[in-house]
Amino acid sequence: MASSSSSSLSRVVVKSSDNNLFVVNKKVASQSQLLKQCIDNMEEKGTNDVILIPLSNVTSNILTLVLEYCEKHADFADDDNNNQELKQWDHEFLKKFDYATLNSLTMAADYMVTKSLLNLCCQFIADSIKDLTVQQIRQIFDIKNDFTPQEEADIKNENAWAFR
Amino acid sequence: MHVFFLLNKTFYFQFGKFHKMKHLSGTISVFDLPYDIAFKVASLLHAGDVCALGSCSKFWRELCGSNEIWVSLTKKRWPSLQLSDNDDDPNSNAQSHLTDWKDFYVKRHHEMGNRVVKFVEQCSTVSLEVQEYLKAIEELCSMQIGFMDVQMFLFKHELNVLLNLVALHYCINWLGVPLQYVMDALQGSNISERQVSVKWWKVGQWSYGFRMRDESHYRTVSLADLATDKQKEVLGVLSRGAVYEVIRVQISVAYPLSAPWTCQSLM
Repeated sequence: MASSSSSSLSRVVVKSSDNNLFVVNKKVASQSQLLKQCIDNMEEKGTNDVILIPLSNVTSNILTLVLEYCEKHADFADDDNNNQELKQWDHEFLKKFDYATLNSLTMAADYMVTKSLLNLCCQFIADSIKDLTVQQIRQIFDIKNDFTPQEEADIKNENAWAFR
Repeated sequence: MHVFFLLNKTFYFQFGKFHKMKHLSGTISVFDLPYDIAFKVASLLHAGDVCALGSCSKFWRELCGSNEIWVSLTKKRWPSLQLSDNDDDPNSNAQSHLTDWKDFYVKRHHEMGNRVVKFVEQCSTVSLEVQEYLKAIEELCSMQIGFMDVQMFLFKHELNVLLNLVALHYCINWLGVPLQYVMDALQGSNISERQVSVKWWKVGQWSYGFRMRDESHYRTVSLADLATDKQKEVLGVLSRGAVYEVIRVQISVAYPLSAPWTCQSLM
């Protein structure tokens, strides 16, 4: 591997919880405030070594997705969130996943402090809840009904105004 | 060690051999987000969806019943209440802690519904003079009906189209709702193509010592036309009412034109 000192400064290595290593462009990594903070701290110390950042909460499957997102967004300016192309891309990106993946991705975005991805995931989940019945929400999101029949009847009664 | 190009610019290393990435669904199969994220999701929902989600399980019931969620739903639905956003204000703070906001919201929802029902009962005619029309709009104003109340109670297909029109006009001119939102709401309730006829008469002008005949104007417009600025003139006539040279404005339900002769000629 040909590595000059300049390239070692422009890249960081991120380790997933299942011990896979990802070499990430610094600009891409900076989309995550967590990674950016680590990089800034190391740079303050003036280190020239390759920076290794272990992420104990994120598996490589999910990390791959977060990095895919970061890479796309690194190409756009911070204030470019209304860019139509980017919005379209975001939507297509999230549409591919089942809810378990979306769930993990949301938690990873939270952990890695990638705020725009976190907002995007939450909005996406909220949009998919829209206009569903209680039964449908339980089924799609795999929520276990832990009410007694009596409680369930009370709740139905209580919320009757909203389900007309 | 293997080095792979992944995602254009990011390299992916793996010690040992590279195995095909597992199916992304992984092993987590339960929709259990940490509280703060779940809260974020719930706070993006509308009231009806909050209630549906809150009926799913104990966890969601507690979260979806929380005051924070319902304070913000109340603020969004009735901006005219001008609830303070300022948490430093001790009065507002005391107020928001003492109130059960879901209860408050539901009560106000019913109250608005009742007001609208009374209003609707008064207005069951197929034709309105502009004075009555403007009075109806003022009445909505005094009832403090919000845009979401309009969407819930007045943008309904089963109601008289004149009521739809009164509500539409109220949203645009009194509430200042952006046309695009109004349009979305009309389409969402499937009433954008409903039509009304507006007829107005102007005093004939003087010409060479003679007064010309009174002019009558007539337009049939869809609600969508009024919300897309296409028929600004009509909306203007309706807002001004019978003043100056306009002596009378009449608004009526537009029935589909029965024009058998054109059909015959086409066949």
